[in-house]
Amino acid sequence: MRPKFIFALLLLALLVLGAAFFLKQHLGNTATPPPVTESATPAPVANVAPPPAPAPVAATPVVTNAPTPEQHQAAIEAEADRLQQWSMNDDPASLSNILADLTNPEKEIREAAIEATKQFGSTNAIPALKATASNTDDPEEKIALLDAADFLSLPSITSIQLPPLTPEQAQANQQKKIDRQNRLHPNRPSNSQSTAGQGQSPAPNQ
Amino acid sequence: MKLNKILLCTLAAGAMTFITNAAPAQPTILAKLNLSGSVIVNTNSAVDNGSKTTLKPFKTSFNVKDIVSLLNASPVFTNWLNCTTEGSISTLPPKTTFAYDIYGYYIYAVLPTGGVIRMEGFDCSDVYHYFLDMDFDEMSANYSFNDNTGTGSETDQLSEWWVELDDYNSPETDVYLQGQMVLKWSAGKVAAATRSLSVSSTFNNGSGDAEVMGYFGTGVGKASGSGKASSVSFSLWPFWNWWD
Repeated sequence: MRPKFIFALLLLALLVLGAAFFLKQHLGNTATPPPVTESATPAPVANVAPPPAPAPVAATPVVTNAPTPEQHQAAIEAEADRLQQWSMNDDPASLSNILADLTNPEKEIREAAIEATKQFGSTNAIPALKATASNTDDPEEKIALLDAADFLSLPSITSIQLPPLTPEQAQANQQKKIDRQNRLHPNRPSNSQSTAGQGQSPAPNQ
Repeated sequence: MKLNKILLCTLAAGAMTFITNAAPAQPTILAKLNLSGSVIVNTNSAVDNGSKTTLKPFKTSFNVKDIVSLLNASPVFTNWLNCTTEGSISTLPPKTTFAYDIYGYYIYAVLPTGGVIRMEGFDCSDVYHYFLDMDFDEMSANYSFNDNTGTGSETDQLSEWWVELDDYNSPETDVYLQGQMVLKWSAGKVAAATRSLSVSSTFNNGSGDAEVMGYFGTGVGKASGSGKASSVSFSLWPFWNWWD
């Protein structure tokens, strides 16, 4: 009886292993999550899965095989997207990531990094921008870097303190505003608020 | 599998509900609009030190974060936003960005959640506001399209493209920038009836009138960005419908 029991146990174990192997071979693919694709409509995607917080990554992706032109371009675009996400943050790590890309080998990424410093809006980026400009041979890039440094040295439009308009100035400005709106938008009501209560739709954009 | 479908349907329905509240029409493709620039205003406040009178213009800068702050500080905007979103939000949250609908000629706020809000429209008193607006005058385009593969590319040069920010606050801040916009499109076939579509935009050296807290001046600035859609129907011409 005992050898028979052992034999039966071994047979059962073999059957279980065989079944597990079969399931792995034939059903394994169905459990794979679908590839993440970018939606034409941004709302559903971001509502379902908000983009992850940017994390420090290598400036240039390391790949074992030479990337195709499409993969290369996709890597550049991905880094540009990350730069934009970092530029919306306010933390030192994000600024550090942006500044690191000022010297990226890819010109497109360097350009995106310059724009990102402006959008980040910290004067802490000025020394790095000036230092990079001094080491850049490309005259256009040098100008862009110095422009960005100048931009960051200006006070923000939200932080300035201007003296309040005098009643006379405010009065004079009213006509100036109307003239300006008529000049810039001749097909639009001179003041969109003049349609109050009428439910009118202004002239379409195009 | 069935559970996945149910989950996807539920999420899609939830997203559609949100979109319906946030924007009347869902844009096909949105291109990011990283706006930045500077404004010079004359405050008319000359300084007289006894022997010499000097008048210096005041220069200030703005970026996307500043635009969000400016708008959130305007009661006209917050009331409008509260109305537009049916009370969901009354200020734009941090990390809000802007993008424009290539086909619809509207600028949208893109919330961190991914929801979008068109930056113009009626408020609850039927007053129409243009908080961020854009348009252009003429366009020259060249494109190449392979009828067999359904792929191609196009480059457009838009003359007198303009973008305007208006916070409708009191005193008001308004920046109008005009210049040339360049759009580069790329379309690729991904399935039997859909294609991928991407567009990048560059707007440099825009300039125009400006008003900061009631003081008039001039502004200069730029905007750039890109957008993509992974599955656009073949029924939509992949590039600009410029003959419409």
